[in-house]
Amino acid sequence: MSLFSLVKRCSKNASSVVANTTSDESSASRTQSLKRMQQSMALIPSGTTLLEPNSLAAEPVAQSEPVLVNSFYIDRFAVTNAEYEAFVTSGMYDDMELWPMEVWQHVLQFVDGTGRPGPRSWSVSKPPRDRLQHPVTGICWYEAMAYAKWLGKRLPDAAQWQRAASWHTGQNGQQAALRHPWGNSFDSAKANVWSSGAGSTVPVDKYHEGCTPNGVHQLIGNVWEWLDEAFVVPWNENHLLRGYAETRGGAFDTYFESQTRSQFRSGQPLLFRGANVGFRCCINLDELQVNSRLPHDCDAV
Amino acid sequence: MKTLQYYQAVQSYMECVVCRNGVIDSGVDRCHTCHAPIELTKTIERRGVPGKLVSVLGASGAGKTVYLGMLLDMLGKGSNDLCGLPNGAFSMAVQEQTIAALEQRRFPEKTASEPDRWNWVHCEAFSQRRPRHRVDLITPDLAGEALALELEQANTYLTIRSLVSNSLGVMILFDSQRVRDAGRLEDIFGVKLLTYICSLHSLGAKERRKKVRLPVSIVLTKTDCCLDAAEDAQRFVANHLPGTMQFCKQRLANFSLHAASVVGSVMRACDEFGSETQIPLHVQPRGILEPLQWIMQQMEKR
Repeated sequence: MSLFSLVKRCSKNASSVVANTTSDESSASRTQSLKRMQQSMALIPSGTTLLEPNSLAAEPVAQSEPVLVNSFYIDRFAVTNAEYEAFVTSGMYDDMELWPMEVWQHVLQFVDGTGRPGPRSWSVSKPPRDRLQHPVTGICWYEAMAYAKWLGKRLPDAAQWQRAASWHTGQNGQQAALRHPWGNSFDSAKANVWSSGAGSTVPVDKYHEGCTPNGVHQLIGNVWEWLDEAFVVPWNENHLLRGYAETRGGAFDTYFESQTRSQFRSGQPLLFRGANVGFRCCINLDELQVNSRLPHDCDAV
Repeated sequence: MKTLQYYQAVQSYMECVVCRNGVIDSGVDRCHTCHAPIELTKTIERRGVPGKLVSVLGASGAGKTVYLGMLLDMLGKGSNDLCGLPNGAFSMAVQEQTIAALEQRRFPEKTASEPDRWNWVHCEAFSQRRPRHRVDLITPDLAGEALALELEQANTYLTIRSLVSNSLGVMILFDSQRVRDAGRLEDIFGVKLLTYICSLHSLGAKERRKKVRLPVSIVLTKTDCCLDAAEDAQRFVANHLPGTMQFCKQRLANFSLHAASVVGSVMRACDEFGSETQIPLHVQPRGILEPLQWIMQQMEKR
């Protein structure tokens, strides 16, 4: 078993790792727990990020507004098939507390190819054995939300995801955000997109060169990532297009380089269960600090 | 007495690669019979190897422009072991319009119904493994309305008739969503189109019962919005285009079924008059090259 999966298994519920650490325990034990979590999650320090407004290109592009993001931890890797299998085998598709009431009627349809609960691409509630370390796909936005809730985490929102993916150059005194985690120039060797030629998902720890400076992998490419953010597009003065959740980062089949930028925003219907959409989780730093003292700058950057 | 003008005319005389009628390279840019660009014929003349035509047909709204534009862009990038080289700047118009539109999250403008306003495509496609075996993807980005009219009244559009007659491979595009939702009309259109194609490729009276050997690819487009078609094109066609399927089985010796899509996510918006606009949020081409690849294989076998 890889260190990655070991750590993830140990820290199944991220908040409990720290929250369960009582004041009686030694600070060494707390540090140990924190270290374990930091192997699977990276701290994103607080700061601002410029969100591009959701608009159609034909419309005049409004000015980007800076959004303040508080410090948070984000998964270094997208959730894998192996990790999601634990959620399925624990019977979480039957635990209605995890699912919002409006989606109860649909949960019965969240089945795999054999009609059993699980992602669309699985069979008999099991992922393909040769793709255990690939990102889980074939799950809708509600399934991603339920998984995150089960772990005591949640999905990042648009500002958080972008803060994690686009780093500032700081050149010429300008706080210009990079177009990709590695820089401004697109490079198909650093992300699994259409021009990389893989043609399908790859394990979540591939394309190491494309990870962020603090070690978050595949924010660009491999799979789009569901966000806890509605994708709303102003259609005309009186009308907004709704019903979609935002997705970010592009996938193995994303064709245009411009659509693999960290700032590019897209969306899918909430019940969409495509083969190129996965997710990763995050947790706010202040949620972790409820029962324990954490250093603010543990391994950021 | 033969004048200088006569000799010039003889020297610049060519046979149009699409309609096979004589054209004279006298400054006009299109064939006066079929409206194909003279440049297209000149390119093939210069090359010295006869053109092998492959055409793309489909009803209005089937997605011909987007499919063609994306196909050309992918061929130009050289992907999936299949490459393509555009011949002439005229050949880039469809690609340029499609790519520019999709990058701006809109679909390209509807194709005009007048043949002299159609953009033509000429792309030499070849496999990197077998670069000598080349196919000329020569087709206008024709208007579906024109095709429908030609099917109703043959010879209305000589361009279409010439193109289909001289093609060595044909792709027929169907909008999978419309096939699923719009009842039998798409199927009837499919049968009409196949009847038309077969009538132009049939052999003599003695061999009328033989199957037509022209390779025909049935391409279900927009399958990102119709997962049933994407997952099993064969079953989808059997269920929703039964007449077309039956006709293919009975009359065509070589046909194949493909599912294709260009866009990964589409938003729909209605204006106050109820007219729907589709917004392509991002692009993820699937199954675009496979129909052409299959046709090339069939042509090579022949």
